[in-house]
Amino acid sequence: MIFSDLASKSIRWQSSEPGSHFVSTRVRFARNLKDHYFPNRAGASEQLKVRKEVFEGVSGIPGWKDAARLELEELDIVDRKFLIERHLASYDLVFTDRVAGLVMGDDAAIMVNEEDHLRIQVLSPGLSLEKTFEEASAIEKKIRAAFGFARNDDFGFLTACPTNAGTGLRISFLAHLPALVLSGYIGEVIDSLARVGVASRGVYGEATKPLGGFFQISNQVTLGVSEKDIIEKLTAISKQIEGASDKAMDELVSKRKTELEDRIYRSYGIIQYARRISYEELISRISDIRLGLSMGLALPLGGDRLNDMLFLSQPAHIEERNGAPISADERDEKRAGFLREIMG
Amino acid sequence: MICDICKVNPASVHFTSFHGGAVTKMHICHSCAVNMGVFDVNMQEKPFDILGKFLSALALPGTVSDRECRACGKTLSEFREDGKLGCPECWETFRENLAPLLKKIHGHALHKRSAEKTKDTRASALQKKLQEAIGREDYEEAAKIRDRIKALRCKK
Repeated sequence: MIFSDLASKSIRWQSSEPGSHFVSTRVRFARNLKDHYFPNRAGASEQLKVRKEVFEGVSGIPGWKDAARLELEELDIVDRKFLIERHLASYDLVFTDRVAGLVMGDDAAIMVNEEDHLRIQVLSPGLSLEKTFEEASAIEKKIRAAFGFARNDDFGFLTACPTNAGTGLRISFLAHLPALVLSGYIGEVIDSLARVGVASRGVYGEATKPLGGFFQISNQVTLGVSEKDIIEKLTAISKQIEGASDKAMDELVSKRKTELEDRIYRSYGIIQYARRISYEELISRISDIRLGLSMGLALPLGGDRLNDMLFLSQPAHIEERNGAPISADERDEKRAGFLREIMG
Repeated sequence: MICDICKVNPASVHFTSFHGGAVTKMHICHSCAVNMGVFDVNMQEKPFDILGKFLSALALPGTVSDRECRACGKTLSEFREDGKLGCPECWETFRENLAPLLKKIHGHALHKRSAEKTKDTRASALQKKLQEAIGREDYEEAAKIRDRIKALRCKK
């Protein structure tokens, strides 16, 4: 366990506006080096060579000189889970038999030998599709100049999986949509998103279930469209989602106000007084409190503290801070203690 | 592949670790991974690799003769199995098999810049034909070509 310091550090790419629909934005480029087999085909020695090349090359890029470079095989299971919780790495990067690596900036990371040689990703608070794209794009250009990527005119950037070809660009935003969940309208929203080529997933991305009304929404199509097309599409979609959510909220408040308030204040009480709480329960309590804040209820909890509760009390965060292995029950107790600490 | 720990179940979680100066590969099954605390609410494995299976189901049927990438040795039937290309060269080797697959996934078979370029190339070829038609005073043909150029421009 090597992340005990980082495990108490707040996450910067979280919107501190507590009632907002949009928590964060993520931009990710899939890229491959020209002269190597893709990670799934490369042998261990070639994977090692690619990692070495990337680690060395990145250190020459302005702004990335001092970024931490992690060799995944050095990390224990808690560290690996921690990187996923921090949204710096994917499940496929940390649990793989490939020689994998991670270059870690504050709000940006480069995964090495995930499905592709490089997965460059940048995170930022709230909904900021264009700005985050530009930031990520600037980093991608610098790296491209240093390495040269595999691409051609017909298929764009060449990726290991055909689902990422062309732009290799996946933009997603984390949306909090409790009113749509409570009103039952979320099903229609998710179905409709799928029809227009937009994916909705759980908080941690691929293969994770949605918890507490948090959804990760991203473009599916990466080829045959421009980067600008992708941004415009997601911008339009985000506005529609916001509108639908506001409508659902108005309806809830007009028809089920007392029920809602009861639910929200109960959740507030639990956060304040629980002596043991699972992470799954915590997400749904925080979701209720966020909902309350967006309704304008007077709850003495700002967005920053809510974000800390949500992110710094994830299982591997608690284990990292503890520094030694811990049972699930002990972890739930420590989580409850941590919440009371934040509540002051 | 059998689980390194229980030696009974098939392994579904893979990782490398560093022990006694050497990198070892670990392959463990779902239940041993649960015991080791790999899975929490926020972490789920992908036991089916169903995306790979979807892709292979979408790719051309198995009747086409097999082919091999001359750079990395990946075969078309292997690609059909796992849905992953082996190297940049595979994109050339399997070009004709990829085009229909890309169309099914993305609704397009070509990268956008390239799609525009193709249109431009077509437009300039038509321009040339138009000049030729005008040159031989075949105005009926020229009018037809002009309409085709117009239609092409509208598509943009």
